[in-house]
Amino acid sequence: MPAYLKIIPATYHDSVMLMRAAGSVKKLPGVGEAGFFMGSKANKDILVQSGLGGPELAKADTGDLVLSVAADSPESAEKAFAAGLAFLSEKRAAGAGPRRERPASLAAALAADPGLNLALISVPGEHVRREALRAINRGLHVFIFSDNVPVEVEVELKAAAARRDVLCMGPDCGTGWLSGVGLGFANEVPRGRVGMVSASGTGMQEVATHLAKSGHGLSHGIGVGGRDLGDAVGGSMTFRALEFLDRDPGTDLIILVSKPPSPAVMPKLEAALVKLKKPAVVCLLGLPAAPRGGASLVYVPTLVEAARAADAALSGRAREPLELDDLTLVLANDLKRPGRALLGLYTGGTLAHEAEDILHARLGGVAYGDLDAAAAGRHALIDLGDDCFTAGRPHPMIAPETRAEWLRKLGGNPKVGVLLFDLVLGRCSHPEPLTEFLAALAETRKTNPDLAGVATVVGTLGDSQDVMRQTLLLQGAGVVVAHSNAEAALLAALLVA
Amino acid sequence: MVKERKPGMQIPETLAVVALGVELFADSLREQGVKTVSTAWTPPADAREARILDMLVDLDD
Repeated sequence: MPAYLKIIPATYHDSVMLMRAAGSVKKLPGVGEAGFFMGSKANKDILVQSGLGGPELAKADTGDLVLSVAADSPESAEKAFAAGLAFLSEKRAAGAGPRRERPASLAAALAADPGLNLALISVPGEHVRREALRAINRGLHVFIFSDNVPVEVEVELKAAAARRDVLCMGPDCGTGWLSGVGLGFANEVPRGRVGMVSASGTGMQEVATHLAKSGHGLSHGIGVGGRDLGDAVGGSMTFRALEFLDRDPGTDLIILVSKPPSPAVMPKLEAALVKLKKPAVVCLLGLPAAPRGGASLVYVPTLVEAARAADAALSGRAREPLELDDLTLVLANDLKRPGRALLGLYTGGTLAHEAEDILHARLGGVAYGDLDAAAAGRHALIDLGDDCFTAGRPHPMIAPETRAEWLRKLGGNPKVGVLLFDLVLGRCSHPEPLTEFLAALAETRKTNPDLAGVATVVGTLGDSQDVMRQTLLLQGAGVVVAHSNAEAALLAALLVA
Repeated sequence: MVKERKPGMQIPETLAVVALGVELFADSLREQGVKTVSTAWTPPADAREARILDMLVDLDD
């Protein structure tokens, strides 16, 4: 089908809304593919690569909306454009009221309502500085979902936030919980007495959902962004969040989750942790040798063990070990694929890193983020939430078809014996995350019939997707669902070893 | 003279949010009963407008 293009000048829609509008148009008769994007260079490149570009594309500017469809006739294309624009118009009116009635800027919103106390920022990274700085300067806490923000901007924002005594959560902060409210990708977990500081969104989700299963809730979950404990930022937000939770009367125990800090920041972090008056559990994923803890400071190597250590400290119960239970081992008995490759397709970056650490220790080598290794049928683990997969398109937790596409491309190779993946549920994640994925798994098994599946599901019974329903869907497709991400990785390693 | 001690960072018990960007996140807050104002955010029309907006933010500090 030929590609047709329509450019709407000076019209902005966010990438999630555009993806949904394009998805609705693909169902129309006479329409094949559809791609709706803002006219940035990166997005235009994607359209060209997917065969939906055209010579007019050069005219589109960053602030212009580009609609592109493959259709069997100009009439079908026009119908698709009209339907897409109607979808965007209806969706806008449904959520926040008509766009013309909304404040045009942060300043206008604050002028109309001075009581606003948190800015949630998810604009493209190059525009974050001015919006976040304005919010911080007006005394608002900020939660910055946007990625692709230069680290020097992060340093500037966090310094400004420290001066104003407000939170700067992120940039690249996927998840948070403040005063019982979930921000970004957040599961339905109870309010409680555990305070978390986390440099990782899905890491915090994994710990929070395991805490919820053992009856514990969160006082606050403060995301700090993945670079906070690096040299440039120096742990600015982590230290302030720890200090806040230590004096917060609603918090009894603190959990810190992060990749290991830079060597320069590690001693400062250890000093800050030792000073805490409250018990703390620390999970620095991938740290080769954790410092010695103490009676009230426990270091653990995995996310699920962070939740279990917190439960042990709060309830007095014995801490469950990290091991595969008998039932999982029995279920897995028929799935052993010795000598074949493991393919990991993750949506959660921290979950992928945790799995990599475990697999690396057991399999000797796993190519992380290496698509060529995956295509060649070697052990490989891909984080599909990485910036290189999300340029111009929504995160795979919002758009699960991304992972389905990669499964179709990589999973059909008979050298691949085990597929390992995460499924992260909760607010803002796709309402039916398995529909496309399980269809892709069935297709993949046509060329690779004995591809075994091992998964972890991050979620609670309260999540709209329902952790039990998703688990049953996976089990129905012959996938073994482990109790945690760490145990899923252990099992996957066992199957291919 | 006794120097007044700063109370330190406080997190409000009731959030009131202004959202800029992806509407999905604002909708999630509304579902949780949080007062949420969505803005009609758009990127600057061009580099010149972006520079002016950046200067205004710097003056705001």
